[in-house]
Amino acid sequence: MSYFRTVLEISRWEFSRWFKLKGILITFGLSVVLSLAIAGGRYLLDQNSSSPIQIVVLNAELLPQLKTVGTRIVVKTPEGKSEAELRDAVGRREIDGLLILRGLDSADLIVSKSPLWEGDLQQILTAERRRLKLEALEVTADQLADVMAPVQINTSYHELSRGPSSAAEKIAAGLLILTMLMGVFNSLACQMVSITGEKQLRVTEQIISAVTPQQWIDGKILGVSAYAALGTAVIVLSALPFIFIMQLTGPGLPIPIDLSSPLNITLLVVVTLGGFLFWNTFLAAFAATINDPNTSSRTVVLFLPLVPLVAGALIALKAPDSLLTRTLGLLPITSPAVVPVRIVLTEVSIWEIGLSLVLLLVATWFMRLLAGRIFRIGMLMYGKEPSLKELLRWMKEE
Amino acid sequence: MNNDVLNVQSIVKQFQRQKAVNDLTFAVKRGEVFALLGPNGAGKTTTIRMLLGIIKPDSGSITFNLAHSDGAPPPGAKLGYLPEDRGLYRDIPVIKTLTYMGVLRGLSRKEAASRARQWLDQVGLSDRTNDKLETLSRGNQQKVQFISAVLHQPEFAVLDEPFSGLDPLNQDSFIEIIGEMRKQGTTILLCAHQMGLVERIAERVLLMNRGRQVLYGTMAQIRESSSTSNKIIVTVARDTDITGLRNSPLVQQVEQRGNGEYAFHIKRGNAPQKFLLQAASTAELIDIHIEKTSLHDIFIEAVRRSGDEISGEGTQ
Repeated sequence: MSYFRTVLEISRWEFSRWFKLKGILITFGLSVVLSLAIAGGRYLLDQNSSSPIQIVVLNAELLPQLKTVGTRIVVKTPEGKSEAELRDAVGRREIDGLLILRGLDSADLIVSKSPLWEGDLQQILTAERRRLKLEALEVTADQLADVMAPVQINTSYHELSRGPSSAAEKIAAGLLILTMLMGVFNSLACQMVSITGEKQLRVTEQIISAVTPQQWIDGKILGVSAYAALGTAVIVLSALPFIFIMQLTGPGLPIPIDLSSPLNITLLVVVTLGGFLFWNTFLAAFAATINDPNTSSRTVVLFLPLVPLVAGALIALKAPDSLLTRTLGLLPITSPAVVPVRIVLTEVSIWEIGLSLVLLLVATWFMRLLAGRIFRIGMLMYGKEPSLKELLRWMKEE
Repeated sequence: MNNDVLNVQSIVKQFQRQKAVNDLTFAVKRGEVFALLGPNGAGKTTTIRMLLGIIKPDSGSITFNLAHSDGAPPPGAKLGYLPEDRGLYRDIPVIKTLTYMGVLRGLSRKEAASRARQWLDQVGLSDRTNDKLETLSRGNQQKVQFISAVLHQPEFAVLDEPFSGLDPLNQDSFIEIIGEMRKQGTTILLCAHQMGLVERIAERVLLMNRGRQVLYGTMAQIRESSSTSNKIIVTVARDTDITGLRNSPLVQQVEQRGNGEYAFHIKRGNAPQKFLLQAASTAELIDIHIEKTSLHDIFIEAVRRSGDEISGEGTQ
């Protein structure tokens, strides 16, 4: 059997060990149910909030032209009822409120529960009061508008042709990083269970007499990376029903224009896959040095190399065009997080993405060879975990 | 074609300050069952790992003479390996694991699945094909493990403790299976601690202790070279006085086994017939027979002797 067929068989095995169709279907089902629940909740809220607020005004002649347009408030007259009768009507919730005007500057509001519409009512009263006051001062509406006009600031961007990042773009970039990190952590869990589990089950020695350590670790890297990629794709795709239902049932969600570009989507996918491969080579090599993840103190150290990834993503979110971000975008340890953020938030030249990808793939290749060397010896070490000195010696060994 | 499938010349492997294998030389002939024996820590596992190319010897050479081989450790397809320290995926159906193992050994997926079913049928597990391994008894798990090592009909198979965890009936059936594999052309290198079973199945033996060769050859040669004496088992009536026999110049040692049964160890170089005649003339015998020196006894005696020799070397 050829080298690559063996690697593919191992990766197929690793992938199928983790792949659970039921889990994917549940994820999609939950997304649809959740979206429908949110849409339904919004519909109910809209229904509830569209019913009119009926307020009876006593002494209405003090503010004669109350304008309620744009609000749910409906002003009614007492229709011959006394204040006591109207108070009882409020108590019985026949009307939402009784407003007793005491002059231009004060009024009493009688309600049976806390009024969410009090702000609207205050604006209506204030507007009418302002109109009466201006009328008394003989100021016209046009004169008032002129006095109240704000200073207009015209912003233009000199450095790049592209505009600044919108909130939607920043949210999208943040979500991309989140899904990327979820994929990396998912890989971490799979590699740990896969490699240390095989050591604990004592499967290792039999398999290693059939395939080379390099074939085995290559298969694991590919299989788990493919699974992590699928997991990420499922998360992204499961958001689609949500977006679709939100578009159908309401104002919809803002989607950054750059995320609808096929080129950008392709680049994002390629960079993300490259990132998964790189991190899985690292995680596989690391897992081979651990005997039992439940008792090993080394698992804490495992998270340290992930710190630059998160830090790089945060720096890129804050300043996507800074020199530091551009540099981090080239380093394999940070580029899988930085480049996607930059693609969403700013203009990234194709040479930068290309160079970043080449460096990432070269680093992955060398990391894979190192992982193979560590794996070759580490996988047969039961009980004792190798020291850093031993690891460095193994890496140098042919 | 050379009749040796495997030729090992003076291999040495040292871990830190300890020599796990020290100048070991042996050959395995085509189509035979060859037993590699030794107490715990003798260097058997290290030797096997070197044979399989999992680790490299510090010095010496290992040459395979398999079909279309270049002498290097054979590829997975030609090799079967049942490690002593073994296990399989517990949460995966048996057929899936066996198919995967077969594929890694060069079979197509279809062929591997088909052979796995045949083997499961042969060992009486055809109704457990789709069960997870963890649901099987320990003995049945051992059977599955065995199948995973030989499913692809290798030219050369290393079986390390294949009988552990099996009841006597299954041990017998595995001896038959190993015999069948041999008939079909598989050369087998066997490690086991059940000396009685090894004696039944192996043609040649290499006994190791502390990394070195202690005994090597056919079973007959081993018996011949062993310093272990012949035993004559005598059963006499109760209260029979055996002082005369006990003090015979032919006797090295006497074991009392109960119910009037005694085992007389005859000094090396003396024919047992002399003692038989003496016994018949001095005591009222109920039964008398010669007990062939067992591999178990040879093993224990040889390991003790070699341990003393090595200790002696160390103190000189």
